[in-house]
Amino acid sequence: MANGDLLNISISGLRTSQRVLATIGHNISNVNTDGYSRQEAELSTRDPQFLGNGFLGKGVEVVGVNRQVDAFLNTQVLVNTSSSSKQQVLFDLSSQVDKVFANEQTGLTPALQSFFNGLQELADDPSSIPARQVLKTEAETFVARFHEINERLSDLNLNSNQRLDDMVSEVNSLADAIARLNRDISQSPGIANGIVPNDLLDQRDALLNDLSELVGFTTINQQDGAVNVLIGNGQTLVVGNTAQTLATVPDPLDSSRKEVAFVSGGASFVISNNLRSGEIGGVLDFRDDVLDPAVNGLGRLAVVVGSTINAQHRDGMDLDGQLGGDFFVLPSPRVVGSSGNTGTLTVAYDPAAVGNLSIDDYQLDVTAGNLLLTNLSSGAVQTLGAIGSGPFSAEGLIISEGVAAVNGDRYRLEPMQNAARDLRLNITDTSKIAAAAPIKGSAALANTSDAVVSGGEVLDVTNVNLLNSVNLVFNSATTFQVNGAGASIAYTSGANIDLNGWRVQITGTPQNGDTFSVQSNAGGVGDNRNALQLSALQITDILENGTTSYQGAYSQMIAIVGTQTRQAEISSSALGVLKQQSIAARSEVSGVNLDEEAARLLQFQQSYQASAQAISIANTIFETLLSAVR
Amino acid sequence: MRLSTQQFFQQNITNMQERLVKLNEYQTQIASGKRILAPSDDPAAASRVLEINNSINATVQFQENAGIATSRLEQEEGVLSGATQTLQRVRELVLQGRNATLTASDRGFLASEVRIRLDELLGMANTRSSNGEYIFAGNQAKTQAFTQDASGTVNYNGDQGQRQLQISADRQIADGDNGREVFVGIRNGNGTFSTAANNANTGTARISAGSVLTPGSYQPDQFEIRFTSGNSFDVVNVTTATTVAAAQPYTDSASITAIPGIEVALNGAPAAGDVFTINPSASQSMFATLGNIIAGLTGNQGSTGDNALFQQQMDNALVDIDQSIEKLLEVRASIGARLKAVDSQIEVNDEFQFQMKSVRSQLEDADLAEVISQLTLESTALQAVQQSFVKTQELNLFNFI
Repeated sequence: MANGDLLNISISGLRTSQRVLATIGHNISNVNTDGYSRQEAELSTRDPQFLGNGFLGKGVEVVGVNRQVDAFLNTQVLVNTSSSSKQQVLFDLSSQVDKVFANEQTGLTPALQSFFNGLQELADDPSSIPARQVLKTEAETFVARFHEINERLSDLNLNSNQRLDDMVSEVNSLADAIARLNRDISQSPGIANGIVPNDLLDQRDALLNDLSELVGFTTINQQDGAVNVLIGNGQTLVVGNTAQTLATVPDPLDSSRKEVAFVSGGASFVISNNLRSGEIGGVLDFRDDVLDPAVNGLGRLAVVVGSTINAQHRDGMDLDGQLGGDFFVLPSPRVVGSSGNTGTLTVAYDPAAVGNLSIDDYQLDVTAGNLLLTNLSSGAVQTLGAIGSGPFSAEGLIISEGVAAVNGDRYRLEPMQNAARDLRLNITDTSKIAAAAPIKGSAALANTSDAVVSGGEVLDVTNVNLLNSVNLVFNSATTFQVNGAGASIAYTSGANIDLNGWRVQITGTPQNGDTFSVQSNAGGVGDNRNALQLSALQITDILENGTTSYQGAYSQMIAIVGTQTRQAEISSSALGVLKQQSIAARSEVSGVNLDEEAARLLQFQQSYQASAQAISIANTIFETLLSAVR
Repeated sequence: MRLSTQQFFQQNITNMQERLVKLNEYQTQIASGKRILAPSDDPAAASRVLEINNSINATVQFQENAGIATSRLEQEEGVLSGATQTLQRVRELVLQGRNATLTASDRGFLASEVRIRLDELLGMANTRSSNGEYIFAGNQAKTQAFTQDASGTVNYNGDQGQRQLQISADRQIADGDNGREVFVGIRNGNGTFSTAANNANTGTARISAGSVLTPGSYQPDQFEIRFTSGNSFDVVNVTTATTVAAAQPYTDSASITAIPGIEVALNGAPAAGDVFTINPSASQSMFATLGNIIAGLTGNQGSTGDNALFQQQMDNALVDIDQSIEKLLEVRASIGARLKAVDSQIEVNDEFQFQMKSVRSQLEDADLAEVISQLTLESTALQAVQQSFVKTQELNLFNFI
């Protein structure tokens, strides 16, 4: 009987060693498999046999093959992957905006500077057609630069939409695969007894890892071995063996942008605001925090430059002696109404308040008889007034009702969205560039005093009498009359004399009978006063309520985008390190080390050899017995 | 602690990649010479660099404007220097002409030279710049500044505009002067009042240009000194039609101060009925002054009255020419001051540009010495990582089984 015991015990040793060696082989083969967790065969002594005088050992057996995992470390990896891939995407996309804005060739700065240099050259030589041609070309380049940069930014928007489409379909296929693995795992034979299919779990962990790159989520483990995946605000992407789907839908008030929606029971609702991690979160954050402000900032600059240059240009006189027209064709603010609106709304930039224009988008609601304007960036709400009491001036805009509004009407105002795209040059004929001031002041040759009159400036170019000739005739040393008739006006040296929409000053000590005339400057082709005024706009603080210049505002945009990009870069590398560390921590537990496996291989090769030797000894013993009998 | 084999390889790959990225960054910095390759490298500095570039470019334009202003002012100065010489020549001719011994034909020669000088001056006043603008036409730059009509009168067709050029962000300078200011708006007489002898005078007396004694008391009205006999005169304010002083005794060359605030003197022998006028100074163009000289030189001669009138005209011409020359000198002094201002602004602009460039260089230029040493350090580190990787990956138990 003893001999049979030894044989059986040794055989159990042989078989166990084989099992262990197989597990080691499995580990070695999967040393480079992503998501593979090292497996370890768990050994145990067999139940002993009671012989009356004691227990006799019966060898060894494999009681289970375990996966070496730490659930906490796995979760860490998922969370860090989501955060890190979000920042990576944010950095990749932001740095594209960053480079578009600041590039010495493609940025706006050189074109802006060249345009104003063109104005200076015009001021140097106002009657020169070549100088006018140069200015027109520089203005065309300036406008084209707005279009190009805007084009690059809208490409990034299209690209973001495309990425959202791709990522959402990837999320859907991952969710599907996870649901299928959930089914396989929950249906695997030993699951009721807690025996889990290690390799399937590894596969599912790898899928969850892939999913975490796209979007952040939380998991809930189920009794049957399945995991439920929750995204956003608790939307169940995977429940057991069924997967829900995400979809991209166009924003109802802005079809140029897509939002991520959760599809449930045939209905879908937008969950973009709750998806703020993973690559999807990165794209959404980029669009809201970097791209939109950049597009709006560029648009605002286009509106403000166009509007202020136009206003000054209209105050001038062109080569043909005509008052200046518009230099640029101004864009108009983008307004989209809800499909259920009753009223209509028109919105225009307020030329008198361009400094108040912001880069924010707004929502206009009609509630309880009032028009409410909500700033979508800050959330600040202001009441414009009651229905029908418009037009309203707010935020540099003039908002007026067409068809009267009714409660419930809703509009999205994106005043700057298309502005950079729609700015155009109005000047086609270079002689229409108004370099001169429209009026001139002159002292009559017969004057006996040395008193002088200023050239004159325009206060109100719309005054119909602006270009009429007016004589200011002194009827005493201290008073003068307009055109030598009417009331005597007291004279103060250097004081403003405002009439017919213009303003002049007379300085000195005029004598009775002295005449000063103000008249149209037609023919004053050498006059550059308006060109100087136009070029002075370059250093005038206009934007942000009159606190910064064109270039200042653009530099601010660059600084903001640059800072955002820098932050994304720093976060991306910091979170990348965290991700690497959590992967390292997981691999400390779950990874395969070939040295370790080699040692184990030797260890179990030896135990196999020893068990085999024991069988040989059992055989020898049996042979000895037989030969004794023989 | 365990280290999985995959992690070991991954870690080494990551290490090498990071070093390589750094190496690439340093290499790009060396190649471009710039520390900031994208605004995100240093957002604050990057936006500052943009504004500095803007300032530098604007200053380049200001320098260009200043160059244009300089060349225009120099052209104007050249023309006005020529005009001064012309007027001085005319002054010499007048001095020659007033010599009583000259014959009518001598005066005729002088008159024809003055005519040539008048044309010369007119040509100067109609000078055009390289781009075809009449430099003395004010803002009516494409209109001929001065034209002579059939009667020989020279008219000014320009306006009183004066163009300013921007030579720094907050400084403008006039690039010229209009013809009204330079050639036309010249006060005749002594600048306050002018004196003249009546054409019909028969005596030999001439009136001096006079001078202002007390500026406040002078009333710019028209006065006349009317001789009632060879040694007695009345002073009449023609404007107010009042007699200021009646029956004054006449003394040759004595100062007459009957008109409040001013004095004039007469010399020679007046005849009864002779009238001398004192008018407030009016604007008289240089061309009119030269025209008066020509008229004087070619006027009637022979009678006592004619000779006295001729002498009076020459006296007045000298006063008016001196006023014209003084006006030119005044304008030229102003041009000189402007040229000096432009010059010093050009220096200031140069200095500003230099400073801005050095600030920009501090902001965006790479410190080559530092970057190269970092590059060396980093490439050494990369080599070390590579070598240690090759060494450690050989240490595998399987090699010994």
